[in-house]
Amino acid sequence: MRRYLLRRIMQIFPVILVAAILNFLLINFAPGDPAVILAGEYAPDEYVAELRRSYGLDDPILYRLWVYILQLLHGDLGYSFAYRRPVLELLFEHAQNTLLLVVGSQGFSIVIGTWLGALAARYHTRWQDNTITYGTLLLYCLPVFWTGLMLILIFAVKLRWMPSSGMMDFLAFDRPRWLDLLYHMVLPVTCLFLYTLPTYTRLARASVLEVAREDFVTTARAIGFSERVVFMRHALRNALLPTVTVAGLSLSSLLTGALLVETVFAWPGLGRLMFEAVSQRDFPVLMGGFLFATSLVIIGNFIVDILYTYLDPRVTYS
Amino acid sequence: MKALSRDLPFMIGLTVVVLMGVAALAAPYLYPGNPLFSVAAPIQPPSSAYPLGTDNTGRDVAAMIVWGTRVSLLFAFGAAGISLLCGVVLGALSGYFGGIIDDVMSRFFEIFDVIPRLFLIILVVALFGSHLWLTVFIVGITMWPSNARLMRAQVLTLKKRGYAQAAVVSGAGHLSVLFGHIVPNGIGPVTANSTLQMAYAVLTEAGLAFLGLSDPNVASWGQVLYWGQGFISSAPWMVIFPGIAIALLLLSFHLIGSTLQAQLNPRLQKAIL
Repeated sequence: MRRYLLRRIMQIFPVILVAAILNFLLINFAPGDPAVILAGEYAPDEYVAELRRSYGLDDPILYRLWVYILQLLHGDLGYSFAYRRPVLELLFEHAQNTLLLVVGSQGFSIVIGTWLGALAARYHTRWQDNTITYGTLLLYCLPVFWTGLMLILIFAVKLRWMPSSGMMDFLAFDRPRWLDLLYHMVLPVTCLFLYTLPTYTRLARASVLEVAREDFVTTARAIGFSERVVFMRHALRNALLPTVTVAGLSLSSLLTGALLVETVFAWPGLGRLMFEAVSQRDFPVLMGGFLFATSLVIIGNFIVDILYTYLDPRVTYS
Repeated sequence: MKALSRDLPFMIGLTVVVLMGVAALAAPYLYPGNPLFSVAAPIQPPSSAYPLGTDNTGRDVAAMIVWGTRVSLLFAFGAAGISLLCGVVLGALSGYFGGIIDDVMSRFFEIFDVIPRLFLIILVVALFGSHLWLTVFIVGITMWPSNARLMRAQVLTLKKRGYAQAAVVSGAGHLSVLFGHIVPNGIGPVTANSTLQMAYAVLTEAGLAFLGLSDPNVASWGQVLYWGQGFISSAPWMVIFPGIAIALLLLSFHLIGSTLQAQLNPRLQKAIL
């Protein structure tokens, strides 16, 4: 196990290294002077000269790559000219807000999605199954940013129940801060929930159907356990394993969803940071964001792998 | 194997895609002139003259959506085509020759699989500019690893078959055996996957446009949404209709793709999603 862990940790680095090299190549082959790209259009000449010196932009390209990677190893992801702050600091700060949305919505998605999927499997090929299956397919095909806009249109513009954007209302003195935060979270969390729900529903349906054919389920039924017990204790429980895997593997698509949802709802998370960086052409933030997202995904995958050994004792690594 | 023409979801999906293709081709006749020019008073609700209303600068939303079909289908076929080509060639070489080529390529597939694609695409488009063809190329080039993996797995099993061995023994070159015999027989799963990638490409284009990263000289569905989000309370038709168009096209590709998948792999029972 320890050797497996070590090998698995060693696999994390090549991916992050490739992302870093991609960053480096892109910035160097993009039209324009990399120093000007990194400093921003309106940067003073001294700052451009300073960047040119610290990145060694007059040196040979391989040496520059080495310098760039050394800087990354020191946690230096560059400096955002729009925020006038180090990129890494910005990323960590915004990641907290993204985490809030992600944790809230994924909890609901996994529980409700699994329940719906299991329900569909239980009533396989009957109307309940068809409704759930086609309903999830339809939901799956809605672009997440459009779902967000529709939620705003219905609940913020027409019904005026919910705020349409932001994370806090600084003029709302009549309610405590945490309640105001929750109030602002409802729509974006719902949106992200609807975005990931189909994945878990589909997965739970497929794996319950798979498990339902196994011998131990037939045996349990033959022993005379009630259909409910067979279903809950035997079929559903064993069908939960793939959910854990997918929760880890779909991190990349989850971050993509969060990026778009935060853009719609002006939620100050990683995605919104990226969106603003796009419109200001704040390249250090875009590069840092890409590297940061890649690291999150690969570390998430790693954690899932480890969790798996605890959940399924049959899986051993060597 | 049931005939595809008797499969209702497949036929619905195909019909929608064909109709959209017709709309894309007929756009210059249906709505002559540049759809990005103003033709009427701004912010008019849907009426008989402008069935989907007009936007904040007086452009016809219906005209922009019909012209936008071209962009979406270009992304669907262009990006998925690039991904298909790269995936098939690299996956086939990797599976056929094995050894060190396979090791290196498999590592490569794995690495590119976990990298969050949209973050990378955003960076590239922001750096290199949002030209239409460039974006199609970038979206295509980030999608191929899953095709490559499917192709590799197919080649691994097919290269041991009698006909492939026989072709090699009778003196045919490796590349001609691989691309003349093995790939055509094993391309099925890749085709099904390509249909799903078309949906993904359309979605990515819309997402990029929604983030303000699409070619400003071309009308696209995501772009209308991008312009419309600021007018959601005064002109909701600007956001409602483009979204429906996107969802409809995605749904069609999924209906087609899931049927193809079920047909090509009869052991899997038909999973609609």
